[in-house]
Amino acid sequence: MYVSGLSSDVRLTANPFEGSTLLSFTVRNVSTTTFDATADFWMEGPFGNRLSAVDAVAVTQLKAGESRVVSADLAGAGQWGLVTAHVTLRPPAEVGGTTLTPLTRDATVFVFPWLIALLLLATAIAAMVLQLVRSRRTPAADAMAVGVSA
Amino acid sequence: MSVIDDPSSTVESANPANPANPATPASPATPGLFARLPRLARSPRVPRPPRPPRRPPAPPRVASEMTRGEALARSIVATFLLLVMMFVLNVTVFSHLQHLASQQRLEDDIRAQLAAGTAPVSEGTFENVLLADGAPVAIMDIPRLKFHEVVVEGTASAQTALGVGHRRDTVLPGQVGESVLMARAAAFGGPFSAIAALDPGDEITVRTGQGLQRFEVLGTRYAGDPTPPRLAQGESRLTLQTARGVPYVPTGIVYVDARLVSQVQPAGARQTNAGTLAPSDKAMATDARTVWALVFAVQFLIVVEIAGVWSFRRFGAQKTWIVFLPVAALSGFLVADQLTRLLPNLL
Repeated sequence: MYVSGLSSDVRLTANPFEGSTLLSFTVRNVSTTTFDATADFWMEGPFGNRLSAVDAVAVTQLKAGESRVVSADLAGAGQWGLVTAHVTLRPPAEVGGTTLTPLTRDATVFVFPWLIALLLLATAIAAMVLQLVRSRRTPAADAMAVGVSA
Repeated sequence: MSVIDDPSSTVESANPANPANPATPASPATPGLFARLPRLARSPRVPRPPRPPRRPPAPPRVASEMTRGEALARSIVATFLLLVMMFVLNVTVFSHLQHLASQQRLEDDIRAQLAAGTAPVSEGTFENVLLADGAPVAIMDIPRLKFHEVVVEGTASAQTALGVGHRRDTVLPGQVGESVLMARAAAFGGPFSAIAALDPGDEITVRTGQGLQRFEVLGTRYAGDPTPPRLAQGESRLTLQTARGVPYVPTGIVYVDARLVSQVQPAGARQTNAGTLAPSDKAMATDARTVWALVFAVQFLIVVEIAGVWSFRRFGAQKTWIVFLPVAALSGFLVADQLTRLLPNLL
């Protein structure tokens, strides 16, 4: 049995605290026996905090020589920015006389924190506008104050 | 007594001849009526003094004299900050430019050798001279990742800075046996940053002096995972290795195994074996063989710093900045480059 790395596809949602990430990997059965397996997906934040998980995704009847893409949609990436995604594939303990063990694959996923980016952008624009208004008002006020004739 | 009751004050204030009160013109038609009405005395209007500006002018800055100790501390901090800045810039920006330039030069070399039929097929050149570290040996492509890189001999930090490195104790890709290629995941172009995304069945091609070798990806694995079965007689396999984890913060190694699907090639002679392979050529190894160059680079940086301080006192800030900015940047870059070579070869 061969397994690919874990791929991720981040889909931003309107809800800033949800976020949707599609995780997928490919498993290939190089034995001559059909078998079943399960896959556990989960995501963790930058501090190791678990964000969401999808357990026991079934990989049923994987035939000899067959490659199959196994995927799960995980919510909860939110505005964390950098999250780590993991999957553990649990095959049968033995296939065709060969002992198999669970395999884990990891991936680093960048989730664009659009709410934080929007807040930063709004703050920057507000600061620029405020600076512009002040810079226009100050010379005018100074001219009025200094330019009063006797 | 009030002003109204005081006739003298009333008469005085209503006097039209009073030049001090121009606001009360004389009215000859009704002198008696207005003469009886009381009037408040008005003081002459005095022009107001101009307001002071809102922002008072800043007081002139007085340069504080530093003691020798303070000046030395400032120089040390400035040097350290320059080093940190150049190190970060070197790893995140300049290293990629270095890699691009190296690849262009290497591709010119290997294409000329392939055209001339002199590309290496063993650990030696066609003149039976041991291949130098960093010599180009193959061109590698992964169509699905739009990957195109020149493979060089050796896998130490200096070689993986150039491109994909071929481990010296393994055969060339396509030859009988197992070939190992290593490359960085983040710095110096990060050639293998995406190989973990390869799926079983994806194609890898490597053009060597023996022609185009085609491989099919078997799968990825981490340390501790079961390895592929031993090669049978006459089989060939390619293993790619790079760091995994957050870019620039590796947490392990990822391996991608691929099997040859084109015609297998005879293996060339190898002088290096697993026992004689330099420790710096192993995965995630650092290379301290060029520490002497780091020492010289640091000395150069210190000399530049001392000269800069002397010039600042002798000729002033303007001339010192013009002359010493590029020199300080160059010395900082040399030190940062040598420091970067001390990092793991798959970073």
